[in-house]
Amino acid sequence: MELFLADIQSRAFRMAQLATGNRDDALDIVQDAMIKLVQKYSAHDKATWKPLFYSILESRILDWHRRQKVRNRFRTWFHLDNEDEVAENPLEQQADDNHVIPDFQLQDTQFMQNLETALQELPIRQQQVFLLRLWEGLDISQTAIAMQCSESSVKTHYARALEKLRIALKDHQS
Amino acid sequence: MNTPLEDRIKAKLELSSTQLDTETLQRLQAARRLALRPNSKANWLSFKSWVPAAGLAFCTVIAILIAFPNHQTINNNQPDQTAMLELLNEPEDLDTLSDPDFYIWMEEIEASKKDNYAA
Repeated sequence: MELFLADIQSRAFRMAQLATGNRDDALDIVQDAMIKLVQKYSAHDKATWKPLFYSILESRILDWHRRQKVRNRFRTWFHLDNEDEVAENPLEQQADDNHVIPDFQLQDTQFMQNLETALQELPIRQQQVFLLRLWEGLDISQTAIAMQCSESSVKTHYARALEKLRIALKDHQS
Repeated sequence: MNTPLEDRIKAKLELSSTQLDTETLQRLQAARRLALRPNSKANWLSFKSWVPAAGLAFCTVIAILIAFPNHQTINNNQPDQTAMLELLNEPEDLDTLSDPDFYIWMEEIEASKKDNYAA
């Protein structure tokens, strides 16, 4: 189990960070998912751990989005705008060192920035399906288990996400 | 079979996950250790977990206070207001209250009550 969690933790964190736009919340979500997996499913077959873990992670991310919606509604009602809690963009935290890097590296950096923005702008389920399929390498049935949806929904979400990313990143395709 | 764009995206995401800062890696490691600890209690004891419950309780109290304002104030004021309205609706009663004989009669009644108690 420890090896499994060590292998998966960085990707899971990045997925949660892309979904929430906030490092601390992403870390909390990953920690909760790890704890739940160990407590409930450590006795299960190792082959099922990955879809189960991502299923937990996915539900935690959706919970986070629901809480954010409620929080935003309260803020709108009471006209509260807390600028400190605006979702942080991890790219904005990095030092601007564009002036010292060669052109190809600059293009790479811009591609990464545009990719992150495009991924964050995807609807959350499309984003999660896309990341699970492409990055985590889950097949369609495993992704459907993780996302708790049908296999045809997985295909649709993936195709739509890819199309949106293709449009968003068209300047980087040669 | 992935397209070149998909391959590029995958490579970039993979690279970003291997370039996490030290603090994040340490916190992930700590989270892993906590998860693997027997009987780990998640975040139940942390302050953050109780914020939604505390918020809900606070909102409930505020809603109750708004829906049921202080009854005692109303109860104290109600008899005065009712009496005033009754007086205004009954001109004869007003005449009675403005007649000095009425107060003399009231005093006599009170005095007789006191005598009865004394006896």
